[in-house]
Amino acid sequence: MVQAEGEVRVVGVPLAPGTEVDVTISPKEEPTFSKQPAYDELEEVYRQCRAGGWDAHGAEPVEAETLRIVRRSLEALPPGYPLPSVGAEPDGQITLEWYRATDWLLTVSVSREGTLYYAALLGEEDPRGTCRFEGEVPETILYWIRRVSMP
Amino acid sequence: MDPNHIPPVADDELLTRFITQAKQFRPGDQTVKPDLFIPFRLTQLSVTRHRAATAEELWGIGREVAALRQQTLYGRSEIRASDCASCPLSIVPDPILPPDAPYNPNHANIIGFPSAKPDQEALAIKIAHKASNRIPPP
Repeated sequence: MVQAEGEVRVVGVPLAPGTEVDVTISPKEEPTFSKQPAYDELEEVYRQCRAGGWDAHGAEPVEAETLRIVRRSLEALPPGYPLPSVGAEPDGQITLEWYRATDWLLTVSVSREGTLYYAALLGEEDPRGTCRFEGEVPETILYWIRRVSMP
Repeated sequence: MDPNHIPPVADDELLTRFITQAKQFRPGDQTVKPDLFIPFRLTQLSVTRHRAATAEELWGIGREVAALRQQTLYGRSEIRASDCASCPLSIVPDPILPPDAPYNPNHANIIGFPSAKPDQEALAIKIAHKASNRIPPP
């Protein structure tokens, strides 16, 4: 209810006292989806795999530089993209996996040099390849994330 | 299995891969990850043939492997030989006999993995797709 005291305007139009107005307050910011779960999983993988032989079978350690590159890759993942699950491989690389089904998934292995080795299975398609992380997630990787994750 | 008469691996044989890392399977649906089938250093992957072994014998081998590495045995995944013996892979018997341990006359290797990482990943994904869900230890 518009009160008599003072003037109330809605988009510049003055309202008479007694006018009833429904007000909806919209948040100014776009909704954000926290990447914290992926960061937490990454830290846990690093803690478990930063010493050589973490698999008790001669695995290479996951190095701090690899952790840093993966962290930056996750930060660079554009809004709206799903988060991967995180793992480690015996060669010390960190693996990111986008998974919908056993025949519909993408894995990206990240080396300490910033090389991204990707392979996917989408039914009969089995794309694979190599690209570099240069501060942004390569469009090739974004394309396959979209293909795997978005119906 | 008679360690003196190790037959070649037949296409219809079941093979087991032991799971000793929590990250090698997905807790949500119990499917196994490609990580379970990524070879390291050597371009081959260790498996155990079922053949004449009982379930208890298979689990016994798994427990010994985990104990030797001081790891947890999270379970195992089964794969049919024909599902991972596609080009360029093949499976060869590789019995582990005394003085090597753990004793496993049913041991075999999947060999022929390419050295390029994306190609290894692609094969591991396909094998994992054909493999059984995690079978937890009894």
